[in-house]
Amino acid sequence: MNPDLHLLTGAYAVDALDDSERRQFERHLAACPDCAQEVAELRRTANRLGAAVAADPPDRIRAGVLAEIKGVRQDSPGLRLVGRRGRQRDTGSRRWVVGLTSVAAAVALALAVAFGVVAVRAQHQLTTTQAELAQAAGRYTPLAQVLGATDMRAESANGTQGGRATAVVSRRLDKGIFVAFNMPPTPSNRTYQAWAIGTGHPRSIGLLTNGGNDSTVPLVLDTLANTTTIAVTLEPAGGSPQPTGSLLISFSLPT
Amino acid sequence: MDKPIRSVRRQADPAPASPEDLLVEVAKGSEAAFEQLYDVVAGPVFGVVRRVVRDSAQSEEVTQEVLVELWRTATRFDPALGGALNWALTLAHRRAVDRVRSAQASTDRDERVGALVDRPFDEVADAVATRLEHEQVRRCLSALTELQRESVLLAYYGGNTYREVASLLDTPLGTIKTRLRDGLIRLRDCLGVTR
Repeated sequence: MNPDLHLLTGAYAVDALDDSERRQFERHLAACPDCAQEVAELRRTANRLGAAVAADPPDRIRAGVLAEIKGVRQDSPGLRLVGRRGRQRDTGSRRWVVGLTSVAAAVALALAVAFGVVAVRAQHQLTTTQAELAQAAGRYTPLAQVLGATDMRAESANGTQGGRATAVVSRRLDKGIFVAFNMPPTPSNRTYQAWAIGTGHPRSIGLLTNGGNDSTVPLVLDTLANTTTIAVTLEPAGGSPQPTGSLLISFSLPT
Repeated sequence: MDKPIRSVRRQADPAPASPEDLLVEVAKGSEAAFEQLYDVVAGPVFGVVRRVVRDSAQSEEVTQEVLVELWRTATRFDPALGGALNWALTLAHRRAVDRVRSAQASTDRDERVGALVDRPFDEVADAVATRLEHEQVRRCLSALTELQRESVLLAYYGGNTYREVASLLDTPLGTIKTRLRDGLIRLRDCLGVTR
């Protein structure tokens, strides 16, 4: 961690950096879970200063806002997995647990592409707000948490058509990270999609997007509940509500 | 981790839905939930915007922009990473700062800064909840060193960059950088802010 940059957490949390410093700090933030955590706390602290000066806005703002939103389409959600609760332990059978070294390598790659996520988000949003970036940075907190968990386990599998996928999970934290590597290129009208499979219908974890370094942007599994298997299929661009292609990669989650 | 997902309560139910529940409903496109959420967050949003922007017409404009943005970006809200009010206030402060840095002439800025230095934290709040919050924040601010307090207030309420704060307080840049951070850390601990 760069100590000088780390000192900027306070200034960043109160929006006191100029644009170029802010960009520089956000690059740092994406690769520094400790900083992201501190920023989140200091930001919440600063917002208490805001809450302390609350004042009733004129009624015309209410009317104006409620009228305006009728014509405003909401952003499409990010790649966040929305899992359903309901606990069920898995019974993986043909899994193999990768050695610690390859876990570390997968993790290093995941961290390397973390910055890529922020950059992708920035390009695709006309108004990238600091709140969104702080949340993006916060997505790497799960990564750090899972890696630091005493019960961290990793699973990996090769794809039938090439490529390889790894999931790092912590049962105690009920969280996981999914990354794929060296996936064969897809036709422009198709995309890879990852699935969490348990009882009932498979749930989409998200679309695989190129994160650079032959690795995908890491996806976060917000819960491991009712997830015994992770799978990847090829789907029409934009993804499918349920898998339609054959399972290109599939492996059981560690218990 | 095992907490069940709570659903938004119906209007007949006396217990109000939490802002986070509301925001989750808003993300699904519920205008009714947004209306309820508006009533929770509009006051704090307007308060911070007015504090930073000062000009009342512009404050109203920015407040409206922020609330519409809250509607638009509700789909990106992740309740695991902080509350709905925190999210709204983050947007509000960011937008207020954008406005004063881009639009205001330097003379306006000087005036704004002057006004702030004269009365850093003395405006009377009306709502009871706000008054309690105000009291607690005031108490914790008084536990900071003078330089920490001035740095934090000039940056947060004044919308100044830390460079501007350094020049206003005639203090080296590195010192302001550090005071902003350790001042906020002390505030955080005093206010009991945790993850």
